[in-house]
Amino acid sequence: MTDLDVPPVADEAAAPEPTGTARPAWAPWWPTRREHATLRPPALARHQYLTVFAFITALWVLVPQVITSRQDQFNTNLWIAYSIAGIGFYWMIGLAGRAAFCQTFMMALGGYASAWVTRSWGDDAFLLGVVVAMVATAVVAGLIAVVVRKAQLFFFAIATMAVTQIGIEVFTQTESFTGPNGVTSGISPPRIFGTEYLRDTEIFPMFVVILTMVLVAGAALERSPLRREAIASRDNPLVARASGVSTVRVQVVMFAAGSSLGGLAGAMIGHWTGVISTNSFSFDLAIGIFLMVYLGGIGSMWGPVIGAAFYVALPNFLTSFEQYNTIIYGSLLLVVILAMPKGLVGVIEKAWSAGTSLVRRNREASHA
Amino acid sequence: MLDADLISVSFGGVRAVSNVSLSLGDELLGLVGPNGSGKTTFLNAVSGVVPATGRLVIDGTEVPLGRPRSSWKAGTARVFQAPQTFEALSVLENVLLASSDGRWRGGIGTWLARPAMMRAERTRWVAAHEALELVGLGAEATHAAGLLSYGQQRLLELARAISGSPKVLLLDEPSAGLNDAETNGLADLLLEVRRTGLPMLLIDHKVDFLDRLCDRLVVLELGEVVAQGTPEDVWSDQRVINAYLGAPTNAGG
Repeated sequence: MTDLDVPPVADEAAAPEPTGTARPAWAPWWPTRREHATLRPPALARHQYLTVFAFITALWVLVPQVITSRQDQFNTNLWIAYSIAGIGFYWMIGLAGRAAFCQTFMMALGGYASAWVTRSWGDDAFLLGVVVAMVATAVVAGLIAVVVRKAQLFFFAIATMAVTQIGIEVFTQTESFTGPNGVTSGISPPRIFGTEYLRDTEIFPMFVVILTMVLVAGAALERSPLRREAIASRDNPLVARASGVSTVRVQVVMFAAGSSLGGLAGAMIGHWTGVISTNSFSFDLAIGIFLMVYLGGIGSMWGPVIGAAFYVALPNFLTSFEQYNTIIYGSLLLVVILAMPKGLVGVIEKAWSAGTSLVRRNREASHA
Repeated sequence: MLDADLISVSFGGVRAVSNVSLSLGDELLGLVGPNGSGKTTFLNAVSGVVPATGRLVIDGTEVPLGRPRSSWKAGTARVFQAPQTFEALSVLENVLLASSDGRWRGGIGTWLARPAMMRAERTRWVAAHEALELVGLGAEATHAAGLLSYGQQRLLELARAISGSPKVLLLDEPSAGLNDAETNGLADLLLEVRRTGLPMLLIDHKVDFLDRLCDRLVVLELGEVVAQGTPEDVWSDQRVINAYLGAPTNAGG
């Protein structure tokens, strides 16, 4: 059978007479009803939650074993926070194709908003502060996305960069919200139901719990109609719209959701380190997040997690070359773009599939 | 079902479609004409993909022009000249995109109301799979769309178009690039779909294919309607012969 042979649709004799109704009811006169399991799109396979579970378990068990210094613990916490911001960036640019360069602005906004909540309502308002940070960033991002909904690619990237520049300037001016010169210090440490999480080793499990929730939300997104609509809006907006996808709504939702993860990461960093300033979310970090996501792999939510680990760990290995960091990051980005466009995740996937096919071949050979 | 009134499309100074009016009832209408006569542009105008002027009424409702989603909401579904499938998605997901069932497809369904979302998805999967079975791609449902052959991508696009329960199906050269056997298979398939009472507007160049399918033909030349009627009438019309073969001259004769 060639590719194009159109199999007979139904037995002519068995097919009922056309009813002649104006609107075709796609009533199945051909016997195709199968189990849902076989109809399930591959993207909705269930194993993604298992991967999250396995990853978190490994993190929970291994990290305390491996970590020896305070610096390592600090870096691990920072890795988790950056991973969350990176996953948000992946939602925006990887899935929805919106090159949003304002994730650092969203992180700053989240940090300030959460700090402001705990300052106003007391230290116990930490959880409220985090929620406010996420909602505030989602709302601001939603407004921005609606305003620049027509802007594509570079124009969108430039518009979001402009938002970041303006936002940072506004933060330095609105001192009642952000503190003198945009520096909020003495932010209360995370406090949940009266328990205070002060030291980095205490912060770590809390961050892991938050990361778990974000990864579950990420897996939920991977297994949702929103994902396919985001990808369709990214790859061919015109055809997507002609097929009934509301590309503007999808992109606004993805941008708001991704930005709210930036807000979450900013709030986490603020309460953990106690300080939020415009300098902590500079343009370097904006490039850094870009690097994390591309280095790790733009095609998967695990990309930013792996990329952020690399980004945080790299300076430790290169302490003697500190002044060359920028060059090293730039070169890395070039290498990734040229040699491994799917990032480290792509390399891992390739190794995995090579390994499994090797195992399969060996097994077949031994059976033969 | 579809009434287009004085539809015009201009690109810069070029008038690609000029005051074309046509009305599509419960029929399979063929739109023919030489290359560059504005057939595809007219279809683009009807499906809202290009800005246009004029008046478009589908099933009694006036549809704003130049807005693909408005045209889709009014009930048009489009099969493009070059297959426009989403290669990053699976075959089934390509069809699911066009589902007219919009329940729980946004952020709330994704993160908050997952059981409701999955229930809605299951009914969508069944409907999408039925559309795929109809075009003969049921076995490929979970493959990546990028792995399909050219002809299969056309079928996939057809499945996507009909899965949204459209009121009018717009087909732009569905037989392009297919051999005779494949074209015949496609004609069978379109007749099968047509039997459900779905009106279609079909652009094509293959005369046998058109004659077998179309109840009526409309001929465009240089963006204007030059003839319309049953296939026999149209093909014997002198203006149509002139449009395709050029007007006879006395040179050499």
